[in-house]
Order: sequence, then structure tokens, then C-alpha cells
Amino acid sequence: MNYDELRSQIETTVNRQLTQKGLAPVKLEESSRFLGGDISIDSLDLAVIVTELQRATNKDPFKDGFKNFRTVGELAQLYLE
Amino acid sequence: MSVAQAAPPSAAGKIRDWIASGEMVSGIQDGEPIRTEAVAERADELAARLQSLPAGRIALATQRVDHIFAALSACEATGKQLLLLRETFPLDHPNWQAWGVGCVLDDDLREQLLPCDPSAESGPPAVMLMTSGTTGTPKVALHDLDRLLGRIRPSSAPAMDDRWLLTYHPASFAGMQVLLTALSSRTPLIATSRQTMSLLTDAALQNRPTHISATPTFWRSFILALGARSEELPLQQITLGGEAVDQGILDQLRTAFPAARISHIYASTEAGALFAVKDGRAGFPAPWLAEGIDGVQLRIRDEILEVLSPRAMRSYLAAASGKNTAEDGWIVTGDLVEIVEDRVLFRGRLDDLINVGGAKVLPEQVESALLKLPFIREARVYGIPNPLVGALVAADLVLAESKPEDEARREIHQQLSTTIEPYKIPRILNFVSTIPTNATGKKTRAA
Repeated sequence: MNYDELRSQIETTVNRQLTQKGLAPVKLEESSRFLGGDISIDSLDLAVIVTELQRATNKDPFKDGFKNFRTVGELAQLYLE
Repeated sequence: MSVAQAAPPSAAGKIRDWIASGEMVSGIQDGEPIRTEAVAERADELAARLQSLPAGRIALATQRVDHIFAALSACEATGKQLLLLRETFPLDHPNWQAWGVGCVLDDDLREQLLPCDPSAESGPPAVMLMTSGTTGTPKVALHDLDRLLGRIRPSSAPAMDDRWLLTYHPASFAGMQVLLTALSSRTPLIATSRQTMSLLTDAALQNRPTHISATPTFWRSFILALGARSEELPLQQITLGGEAVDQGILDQLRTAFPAARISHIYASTEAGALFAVKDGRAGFPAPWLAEGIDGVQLRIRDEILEVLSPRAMRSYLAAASGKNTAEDGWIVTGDLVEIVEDRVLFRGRLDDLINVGGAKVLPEQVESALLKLPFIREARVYGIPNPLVGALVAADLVLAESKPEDEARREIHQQLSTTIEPYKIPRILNFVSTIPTNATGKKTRAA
């Protein structure tokens, strides 16, 4: 998966979580922060995004320990490496 | 009866007596009648052959109940131990050595000999069964035959037209209970070569069983598969076991089969058959913790039910771990329980517990909340490892009606928000057409 595909995968998953809660879908920017303002998701939603990315890419960047990320761009980057 | 008189002394035994005193037809296998006389002949013939073998342990992998009847009788008569399998292994497989098996019977009960050390296998006649285990490698549990037979209670008043439907694999602990109960009650058994819902539903509608023992998972699908035809079944006794029984399924069965007695049994391969609850309510009466029931003592430690049972199995074959036994000999069942007013309710298996960021989620509780939604037919809940929160709650769902996925997701989230805590709501939803069950009719829980 390239960077754009990863971003689009993240957006799809985020919007599925939002729809599930009866909230309106959003358009994500590279700089959109996951927790703390920009998107109405909680830490479990974020965990879902990570699991979905792991399934889609077959990669687990957290295998050797937790890595910090705050934005859509930073998370996508983790799956590119 | 002429069959009994013809039996050579070498085939004597309780099972042989049950076979010989049965009706003309002892069962229906895939629509074909099982003739009692033929089973007795096979048992005697096999006993004569086994008598001369050095092997003390005999293995048989089959779904045919007539062959299992014959093999049980022959092993009882000759003092052999019978290992009943649900899958076959090649003759050079290391399992045979590990299990001390010296002879394997094929599906026609012909013996294939293995090199074995007869001294490695000794002991009273026994039946060995693989434990079901919803996850992981199966273990083989050894049950002394006289103990196994000792806890079989023939139907209190078997009637001429009683018939049992076998919904379990006959080589499972639950299947063996049904098989021996039917045999000891001289009640014909309706068996299919595979335990699929369509074969079992067809067999039930054609042969009209009066007694069915099955898992809650089976019953939920069975009610849906039968629909209005449920009234065609002359069911007198409904038994549930093998999984936690919730009030929802008990109520549905009461509606579908108003004339039947409904009981749920609590048993495990390790602890044997423990008790039956017959009042139509989930769980069991709390006073049993103090008084015991049917010779079984019960206690709760760290939210887990522990039992002391005179009917426990003897041992595991090879590498018996003491993990399932408390220091004072009580069996740790691994079933989480909770006392609610006058009832002890089952909350699920400790092994299946999902740890979401330190908060514990019981799959059974989430499944039961999901199954209350009218558009969900079947649900399987399990944990998926996650680097952020430890584990996420996932659910495979079979919908009862066609519904757009987004709409289903929204409704599930909304409805569950009002019945269970937010962290227990499944975040990963997979919409599937069926949910696999294992050989004993239990939902498999491995992710």
C-alpha cells in the first residue's frame, strides 16, 4: 500500500466508526489529530484503525513496542516503513 | 431372547446385556435401520478377535453408532481400553505410541495392528475420548468404563415410541452420554454420519425424535431451521448442555415446544456429568452451594466454580497437568459464575475472557446482548490482540434478515449502548453466512 492508499484506508475506517455511532462522516487531512479535538473518536476506535491497517497491510509496526503517533500522516508513515 | 442365549461367555457385560435386551431396531443411521441382532453379532465377533490380541488399548475412529455399540461391548467383555477418535491418523503417526495404542480398528471394525509395548497399557476397561476444547490441541481423557456406566441413568419410564436424536459426535463426551443413555433405556437412536444442521433437521422431521440433547448453539439454529414445522416434532424432553445456557434460549424453546420438559445439564469431560437443572431458569439454585446436588459438592473461589465429584474422570493420557485441580483435590472448572439473588448464573469461560485495556469482557455476555436484537440470528464474540489496548472485542454475526451493513452497525451500537458497558461493545464486526461449530456443537472461539 502506498501513502495515499493508507490515508484512504484510515479515512474509511474512521468513517465506519463514526457512522456506527450515528455521527456524520468526515474528510481527513494529513495533519488531522486522532485524539484530542479534530475527530470524535475514542481510544478504542483508534485501536480499531490500527487493527484494520494491520489486516490490510499485513504489517505490524508495533510488534517491538509502542510507537508514538498523533496525526493521520504520522500513522500512515508507520506502515510505509 | 434368542440373541442373548447365542452370546458366547467372552462377550458378557452390561453393554452386551443392554444390546441384547433392546428392541428389534436399536437405531436409525442415515435413514437405515440398525438391527439389534446385527449389532450383537458384530460385538461378539469383535470380542472373539480382540480376546487373542496382546494390545490393551484399541482405537476406533467412526461416526457410526452401531460400530461404536459393538466396539464398546467387545472392549467391556475383553477388558480392553477403547480410544474413540473424531479424526484418523496414519498408522505410522507418533500419536499411537504416545497414547499406548496397539491396535486400530478401521471403519469396518477390521483390526490393523501396531507395534506396541503391552506392558505400557494396563488397567481396568476404559473409554478414552478427546476433550472438545474450543481452542488449542485436544487432550485425551480416560474414563473407567464402570464409572462411565455407573452414572448413566436410563430414562425413567421409556415408552415404546421414544426416540433420541444424536446431535453430537458419538465420540465426544456429550455424544457418549446420549449413546449410553439411549442404549441403557433400550431406546432407538437416530444418527447421521455428519452433524450438519440440514442433515439433522431432515432426520428429525423424518424420524420424529421424542428426546434431543444439544448445545444452545444447536438449538438456536434448529428452531430457525424448523420454523413452523417445530410443531410436527413430538418432543418430550429437551436437554441443553456444553455451553452456558441463557434465559433467552430457554424461553424460545418453551414457546416452540410447549409440551416438552426442558432441562440443562452441567458437565465437563474432566468432572463428568454433574447436575441437571429442570426449572426452566438459567443457572442453578444458590442453595446447592451449601447442600450439594446429586453427590456433587460445589463452591465458588475467585468467581470460578469449583466442584468435587464422585463421577470425575480418572486421568488424562500422557502429561496430566495439575492445573485443573485445586490443592485440596477440587476440580477448577474455569467457568465464571455470579450469585444473583437465589441463583448462581454462568458468566462464561475464564479462558475466553477478553482483556480490553485492563477491563474484562465475557464473550457470552456480549453474545447474549447481541442475540436479543431481533435481526441477529447467531453471534460469536472473541478477542483480537491489539497493540494499543491489549485486545479488541470482535464479533462474527449472522443476520436473520437482509439489512444494509451500515444500518446494522448503527443499530447494534445504539442498542448495545443501552444494555452493556461501552468497552464491551464489539468494535470489529464481521457479517458472515454461518458460524463454525466444533465436533461437539460448540461455537469455536479462537480468533
